[in-house]
Amino acid sequence: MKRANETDCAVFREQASAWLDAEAHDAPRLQEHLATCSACRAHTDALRALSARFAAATDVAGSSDLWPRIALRVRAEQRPTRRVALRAAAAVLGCAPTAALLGWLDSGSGAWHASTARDASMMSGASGAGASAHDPWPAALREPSVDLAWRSAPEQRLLAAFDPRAAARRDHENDEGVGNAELREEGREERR
Amino acid sequence: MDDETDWQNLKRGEVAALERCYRRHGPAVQRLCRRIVGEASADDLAQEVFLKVWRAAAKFDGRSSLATWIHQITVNHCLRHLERERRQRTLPLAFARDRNDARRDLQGVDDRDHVESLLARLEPEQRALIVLREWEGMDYRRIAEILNLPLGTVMSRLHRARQRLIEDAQPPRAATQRWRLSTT
Repeated sequence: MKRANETDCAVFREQASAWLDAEAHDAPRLQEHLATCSACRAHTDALRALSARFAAATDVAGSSDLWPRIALRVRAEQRPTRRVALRAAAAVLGCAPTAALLGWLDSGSGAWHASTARDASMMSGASGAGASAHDPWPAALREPSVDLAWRSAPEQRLLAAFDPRAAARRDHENDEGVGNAELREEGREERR
Repeated sequence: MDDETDWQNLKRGEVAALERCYRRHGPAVQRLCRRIVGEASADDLAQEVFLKVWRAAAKFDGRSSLATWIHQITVNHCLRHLERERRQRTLPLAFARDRNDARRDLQGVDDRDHVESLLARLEPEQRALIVLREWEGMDYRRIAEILNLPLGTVMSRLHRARQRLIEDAQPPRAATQRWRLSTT
């Protein structure tokens, strides 16, 4: 039997693994070499034995069902996304009625506008645009906080002097230039 | 439903599609994880593989089959895990197996222990190559696809991995004799 040269052996061993796996390109040439080289035959036998050992060592352990754990983790990952989505949806849905309401007000619903303006002026104590021309006082300042009708004149003057609403009325008059016939008359009497 | 339909549903974030996907490919993924990294971490890694599938479904371009894509994710995840283990200087392959498992016959355990101890000495990528070829029975083209390597590289690396396994499988005395013969 002729001894194959070392170059052939190196090429064969490089390809032997693929040849055994039926993946080698030059199978006839490799077979030819194998027929003439005992060292390469031994190498091929070792490769075959290795594959046989792996085949014998195939594990048979069953797979446990991982789905419940995977599903838990997927849901945990989904939760923040869902929360953000819900927040976005709530923001959109919350904005829509507000925007519709603002649009409706802007379109000029007179009744609402007037009443709201009046309420607003009453609340703030300032004379709003909707306040009556005959009543220059803001609603909060219209009625005296103390009923003075049944009190004596000095008492009435004293209480009026310390009545915060009367003071506010005076301040208001000075600020806004709104006249009050009664107070002007009262002032004249005092001066006399 | 087939893989194509499931992939489309997965892209839309359908959990039921992921479950079908797990039912179809889960056992193979678990087996592959067990074979590459050992039983101790296999289930955790398999879970993470399906979470990755879930997160990356929208990025899957459909150039390969869904099964190949899942195998790619599995092998890459296992290799990264082994790399992390190696960096942490722990044993490369934590084959913490239950030796009392009644499903295994004694001879089988011996064979597996021996083969697994041989595998543990290989580089992670060589280990993946051997597992895909010897245990999963994949052809070179599929292995190349999964490991994203040229066909020729798969061939040569598989050859080197087997060469190393043969050398490691020999008893030390025989190996010494072989070394003496090669040097004379």
